[in-house]
Amino acid sequence: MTTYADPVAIEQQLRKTQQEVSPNEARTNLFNLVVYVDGHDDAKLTDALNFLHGKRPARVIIVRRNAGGETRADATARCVTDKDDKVLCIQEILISSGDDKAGEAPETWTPLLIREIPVFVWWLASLDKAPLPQLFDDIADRVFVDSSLASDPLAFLESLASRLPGLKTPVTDFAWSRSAPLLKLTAHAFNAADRRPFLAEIASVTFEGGKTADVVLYFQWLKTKLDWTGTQAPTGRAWALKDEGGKPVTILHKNPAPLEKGFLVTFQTRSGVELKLSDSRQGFAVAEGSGLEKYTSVFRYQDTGEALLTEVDRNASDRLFLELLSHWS
Amino acid sequence: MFANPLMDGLQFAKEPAPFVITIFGATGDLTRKKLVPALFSLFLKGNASQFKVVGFARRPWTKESFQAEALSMLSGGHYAHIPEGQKKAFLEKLDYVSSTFDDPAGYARLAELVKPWEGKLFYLSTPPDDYPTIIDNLGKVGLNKTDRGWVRVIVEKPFGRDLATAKELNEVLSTQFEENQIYRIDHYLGKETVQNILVLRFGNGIFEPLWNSRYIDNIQITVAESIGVGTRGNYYEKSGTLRDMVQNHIFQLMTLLLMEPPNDLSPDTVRTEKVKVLKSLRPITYKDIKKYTVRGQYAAGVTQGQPVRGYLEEDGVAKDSKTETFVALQVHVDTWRWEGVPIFIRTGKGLGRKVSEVAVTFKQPPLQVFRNQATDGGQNQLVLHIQPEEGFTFHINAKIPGYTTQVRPVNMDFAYGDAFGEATPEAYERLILDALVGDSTLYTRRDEIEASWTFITRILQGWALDTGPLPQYRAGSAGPEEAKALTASIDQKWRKL
Repeated sequence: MTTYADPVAIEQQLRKTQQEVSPNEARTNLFNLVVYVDGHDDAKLTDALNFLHGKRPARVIIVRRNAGGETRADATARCVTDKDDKVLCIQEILISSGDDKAGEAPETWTPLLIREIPVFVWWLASLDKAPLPQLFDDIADRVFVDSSLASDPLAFLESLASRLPGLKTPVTDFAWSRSAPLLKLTAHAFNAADRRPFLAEIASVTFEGGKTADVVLYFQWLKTKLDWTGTQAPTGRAWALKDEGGKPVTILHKNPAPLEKGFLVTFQTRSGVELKLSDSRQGFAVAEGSGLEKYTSVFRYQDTGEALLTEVDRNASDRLFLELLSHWS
Repeated sequence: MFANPLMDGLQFAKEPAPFVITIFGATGDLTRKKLVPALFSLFLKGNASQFKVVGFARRPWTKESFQAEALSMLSGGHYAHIPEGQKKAFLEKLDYVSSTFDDPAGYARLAELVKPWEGKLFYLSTPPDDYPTIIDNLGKVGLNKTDRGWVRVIVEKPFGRDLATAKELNEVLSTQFEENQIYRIDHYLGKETVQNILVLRFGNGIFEPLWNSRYIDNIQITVAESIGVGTRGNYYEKSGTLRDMVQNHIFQLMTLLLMEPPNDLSPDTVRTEKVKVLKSLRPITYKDIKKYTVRGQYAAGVTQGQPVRGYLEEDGVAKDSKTETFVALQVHVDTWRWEGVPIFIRTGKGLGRKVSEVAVTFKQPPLQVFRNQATDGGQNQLVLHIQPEEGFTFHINAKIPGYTTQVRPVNMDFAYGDAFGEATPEAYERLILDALVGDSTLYTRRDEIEASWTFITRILQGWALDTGPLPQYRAGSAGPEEAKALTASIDQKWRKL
């Protein structure tokens, strides 16, 4: 009989490894994290786990799709000792899913989960035609994706939004998590009492920089919060929307690039006021415009590791993200 | 559209508006060890970006020498890894006023420096005797109020020596500041585990139904230090353990443990509930002093493997001193919830171990079906560990495997260090940030201070009438033998140190 990932053997292997690293430590794990990756090592995953390492003890099961050969499993643990001599470990189980694709089936790895603690599934593999998130409905507490990794982020987000009423497992999008500093900057830039009226007068928004997923989510947030109506245009074209009073609002994404490389968001109001938000690339962002007092704010992007830590500490999915999806059109 | 709908649903970190903080007594130890490091940490974490720090003290320092001193405060240890550029950016925000606390010219210079800032925080890190002079002078130059922004003042402990002096100090403060501007700091409330008492009690459905006299037998609060008074003999002679630990730190712990569930977490709601506990404390009058209180002084002994001299041999201590270095109390809270539940408090110096904890002992089951078993230690106990290792232990009973029903206690443990790897913020960081954003939940209100001193002053007065010798205990022990009588009165023992 074939055994892909023998839970007893894996547990023994983990115990042995951790015994060598930290003989007398009590074992605490806060959550299970199951990560689906494609074929090769994924630098994003390595960076994220390195960030988590020493901050939260967890069991991480990495399912490597299309690894070739037979499906197989291996386990290891890496631990770090903090200043108080406490040892925090990440237990890593690697399932290489072979030609039979058996490793991808949840039944292969569910016996390896630690019960009584949350299960997060992070789909880092290709998002095209991914069986998300229904495949994990009875297993996962939440599913993490990164819509910026989809070949067509707009289509992926649309598909996610269309399935929202039937979703039993909450979905978290790291592209959304990464956009949080930009949303806060925008909200603050319009927050002074004399600037709030501008929100009702916006005629156009132009976003230079940022990837499609970042910008689509940003526009969708503005659209939802400011009660604009209309549909999204295909990537690279202007969206023709209408504001609460039925007046036209044009929004456009130009010069796509990773958000970390900088951005410039320009708001034009019907009364001729122009407000520009930009990243100084020196740890702060600036909001300035015609006749307006300059506003600066500490500005730092959250990398995937930080986003992962934030999400595994959170008990529920982001209400704002769900609100956005529910208003998708 | 006057509201800003874009703010809806976003989660913001605590970020104060631009502010200036003035530290009176900036050349002291607290500034070096706590205040400057806390402000630097807030700066590094991005919680404070637009601000200025003004040191105000007698020493003839300059802005440059204050910056040089601050740099030395941020050197070595983990500061070695912080880029010099970041330290420089922080140090540039520091300024200094050299002045005595009663010199109007110093306050005039200070007023000029802080004038442009919307938020003004004054930190009184001086001996309490200087408070009235500083408060009075701040008022004279109009720094106690503002037309735009805010003005707040943080007052360090000790906040009075008894009820009369605490009231006097409150009066002095109230001549220039409104109560909502006054932040009386007790750094104990800035500790994560202390704050976690609220989460444990009110964030979990399981405990609150049991948190009353029907299910709880008694509560022990222990805050033990293994070291002696060291170089603080002079200070300690004027305070003693009851004033130094019980009136503030331990009463804060106790009120959080015993308060009724607040309707919300707004500062006044929480503090009102805490005050109710203090006002419900059954007074210990001089007649009951020997029944409900025990004090003692450590004699020579050994702590942490090292010989320690007795309190009376310490520098700065009078040879015939009657200042207590140990206090044990049995207190009662006369409320419906806590009627009949004794609260045992034990704190002191020169004890066997450095431990801070709260142990909640539950009553035995109404019918003990396993009554043939040894019951010693068999009561369920929830222990909240505050120091040295933060966490919880729940003592429950389990069957020993075998053909007979043999029961023994086992522990369910949770240690913060096993679950959360990052360092918890220093208490002062959290508290200063709270003051900057106007959240006074973790600060002590006037009526809270006065209610605690009302209870403590009665004990002090009772002790003053007691002319007998103070019980001694060997340094490194669990305290004077006399303390055992308190817990023995309900057939219990103090937890082992």
